[in-house]
Amino acid sequence: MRKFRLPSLQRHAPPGLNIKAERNGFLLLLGAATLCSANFLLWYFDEYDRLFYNHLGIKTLTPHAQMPTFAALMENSMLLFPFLALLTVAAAIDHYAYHWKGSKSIYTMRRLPNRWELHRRCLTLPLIALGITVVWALALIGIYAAIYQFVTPAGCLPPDAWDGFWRTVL
Amino acid sequence: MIEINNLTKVYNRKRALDEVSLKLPQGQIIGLFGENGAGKTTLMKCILGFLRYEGEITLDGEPVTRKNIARISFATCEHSFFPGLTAEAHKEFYAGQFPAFSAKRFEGLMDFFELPRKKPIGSFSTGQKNQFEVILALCQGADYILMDEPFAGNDIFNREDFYKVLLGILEPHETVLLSTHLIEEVSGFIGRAVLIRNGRIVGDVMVDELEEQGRTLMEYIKTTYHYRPDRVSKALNELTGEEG
Repeated sequence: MRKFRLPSLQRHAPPGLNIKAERNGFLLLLGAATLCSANFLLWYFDEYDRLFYNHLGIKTLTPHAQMPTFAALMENSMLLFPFLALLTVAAAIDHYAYHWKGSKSIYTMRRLPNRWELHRRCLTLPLIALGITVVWALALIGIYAAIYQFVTPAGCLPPDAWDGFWRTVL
Repeated sequence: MIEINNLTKVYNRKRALDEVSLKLPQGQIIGLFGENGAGKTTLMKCILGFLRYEGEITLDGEPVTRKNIARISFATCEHSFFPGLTAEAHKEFYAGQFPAFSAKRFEGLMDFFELPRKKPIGSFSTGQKNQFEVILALCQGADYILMDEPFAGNDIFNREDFYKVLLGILEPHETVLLSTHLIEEVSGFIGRAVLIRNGRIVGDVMVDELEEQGRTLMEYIKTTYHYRPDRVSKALNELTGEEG
């Protein structure tokens, strides 16, 4: 059976750059951002429990109880994602700056027959990281929105449940 | 042939190059001499298209663009290799980017200078870095090899070895433009000397012609630069207060 190997990222990065450190740093921060976003779940299930009262050992829905809006529950949960997106921009700048560190390898890059090679190697990985960050953040928002919509008991969603949703996304 | 016509480069209102015109035909080893700040590096950077300039630079009648840039290589004392990359990885990179890259020459020169292949170039000594820088320029498969003070920091034995190897490996169509302060050292190795001062070409001579006239390259350079041999003794006298 053929062993599955991840495609090498090195040929999409500035030559000689320690791509493993960069990749590990990104994955670590993505994990941290994901954990931070899970704060939503803590808030959500806390509020969810408040919808009920205990009657003779049975959880009973409190009449007229309502969940806060989705945006209120999401407050600050996605805070690390914009930061992560900014870091990918910083990584792109660092990739360009790399060609002035320890030597002037920029001279080599600027005289390659392929005029896009420098930009390809400086921008590809940050753009991929930015894409992953955005898609992952949207996926998490989608999952949290689905939980909010479908786990919340019918009638407990406030009329303005989705007000401020786009503020959360953007 | 690289043809430079009326090349002018201005930095902050100062003319680093002033109406420079020069022809670099194939098959010559040319020494480019001048004081620090004379315009040697600027001239090379203009040829490579790193700097904007006024005037015209052509390679076989065509402007130097990405289409023909692979025909010019560059070795610089600032170094243009990738410090985090090994020699083997450089070979792969160059072979992928420059279609005429000579792996055979690369292997030969790496063996000759006994440079490590699997260590990042950043961990090399200064002399080794210079050697590797020049190896890359020589192996790119370029017709025109521009070298800007490539031996700064190398000891005399290293340099002598390099001159010999260079003379031995260069093909008849390859041109070397070598900027250096080591005039006497390269005088037996270059075929032509170009002198630059304050951004202007002040001398351009074939070394053979000088030999026929019974003059040395150093004498020619001193004459062209109006070198005053009494300058040092005068300065010393002034500094020590002694009469000449």
